[in-house]
Amino acid sequence: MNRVAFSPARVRWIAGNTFREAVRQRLLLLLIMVAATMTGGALFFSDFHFGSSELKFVTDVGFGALAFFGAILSIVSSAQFFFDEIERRTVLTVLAKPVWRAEFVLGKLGGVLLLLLVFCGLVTALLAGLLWWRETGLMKAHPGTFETGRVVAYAGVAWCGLVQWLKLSVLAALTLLVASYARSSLLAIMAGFVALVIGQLQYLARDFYGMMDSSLARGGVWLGGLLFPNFQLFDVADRVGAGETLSAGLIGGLAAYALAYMSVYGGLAVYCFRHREL
Amino acid sequence: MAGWRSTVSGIVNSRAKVAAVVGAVLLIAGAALRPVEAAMRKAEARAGMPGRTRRLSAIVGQGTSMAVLGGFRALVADWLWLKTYLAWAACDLPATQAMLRLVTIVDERPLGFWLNGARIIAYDMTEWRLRSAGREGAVPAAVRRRILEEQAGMALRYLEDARSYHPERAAVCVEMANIHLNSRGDPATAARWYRQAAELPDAPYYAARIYAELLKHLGRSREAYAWLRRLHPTLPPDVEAAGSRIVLGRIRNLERTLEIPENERYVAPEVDVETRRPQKID
Repeated sequence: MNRVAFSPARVRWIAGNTFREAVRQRLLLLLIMVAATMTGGALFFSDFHFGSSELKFVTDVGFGALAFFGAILSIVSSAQFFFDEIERRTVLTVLAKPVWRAEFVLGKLGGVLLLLLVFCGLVTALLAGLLWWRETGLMKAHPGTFETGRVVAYAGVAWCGLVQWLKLSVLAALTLLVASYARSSLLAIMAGFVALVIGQLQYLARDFYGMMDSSLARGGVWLGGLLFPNFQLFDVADRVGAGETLSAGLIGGLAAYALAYMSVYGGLAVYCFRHREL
Repeated sequence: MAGWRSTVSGIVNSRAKVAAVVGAVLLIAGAALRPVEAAMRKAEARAGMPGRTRRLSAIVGQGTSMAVLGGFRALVADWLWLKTYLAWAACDLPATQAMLRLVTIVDERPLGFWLNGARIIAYDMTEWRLRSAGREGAVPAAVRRRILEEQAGMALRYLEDARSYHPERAAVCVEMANIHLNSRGDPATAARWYRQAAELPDAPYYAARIYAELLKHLGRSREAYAWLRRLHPTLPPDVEAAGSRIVLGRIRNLERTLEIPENERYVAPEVDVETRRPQKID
């Protein structure tokens, strides 16, 4: 049926277009808001750290903002950019050309992943810059506390930004899967948020229901748990804030886990879109 | 009519088939990835989280529990710490006490919460209670003693909890020693905790020196001398905080006090000029 071969170049072209569209849709405004919130938070905490590490507060606030705004960006952009093409009928124009449906879906996913990468990169860089600035100030004010040099593990902060991107990428792929099947963007967005909550809390449900007597309920929860990734695994930011280091094994494991889920969700989104009436 | 029905049935069947395939693939993928997830969960050692959640829900309501479980645990703990600060600034003893507990239930990992919390309980709260008991100097000695004991006991129990999460952190032992020494006036127990701190990998150098000083204060100068003799060769001479020269001076003082014969006196190891480390002695 397809007369042309699958082309990664076309996937890149669609991804690039999706990314440009995202930039035009005031993404930068959101980034500036996050940055301003973090900067304000850091200045506020310089008076209120109350004996605890001020740098820990800044780290926690920064990664909290990244996780919160990142989840919104991931879900909304995945659903919105997909349905925009369908509602404006531009998808028909694109698919009328020698473009595979798989290329279209993967291009959309690629664009959103690029968008999330830029978002995570900028916020992490901003956070690292803020930490560096505050730490330098504290080192001048309290040299005795920094006898052994800087205390913030900047490599850990960078790794943490990467892990957050992996989590948001899985979430984006999952939302795109729902969008490729659903009939409205609202349903896809709602499903994305529900999936985020389930993915975040499902391990807890498994722990609780694992103690239940009813084998039927246990089996049901077990099966349900298989449908969603465990997002709790990606919550490494608070460990970095608490001064723990992230092992290479953990980061590698998380990357493999995220990549596997992204592949499955991406593949299924292609399958759903190929069976979709446009 | 029949044509309409067959169209609808075709769409439904097609969508149902797609949903079934998606569900099946997700189940297979989920089952295949479960061992990877289990290995990472094991590494994270999240045992006890369900219990923590029940405790949290009972104390702060489900909203905070959801935020904690939703990946904002550190952020929630920080926010609670700020609320603790407000209670502390208002010298509100019950609120501060409750908030200190809550912060460490939400996030037990930052050592700063435990150490600062223990100091507030042992020192600040004691002052608040003494102030509310009467004018300065008007509080009977027995009442003062009782308040000090109660607050010190509370702070020590708090730090015992901290030790269950941070058994290898010397700072917790040092803080316990400080409270035994400053609040309870019990140098013997304080010495025991300083020694315990000194034997942990991240011990500050001063813990070992204070232990020796307390032994001297308790009249156990021979023990102090033996301890300092063992300690001195392990101290890097080029690190000011290690106080190698101070320790050597104290060894010499004790040798004079204890009248140690010349031939049994401590011989300081020669310092390697290249590494600036004491050469190993047998």
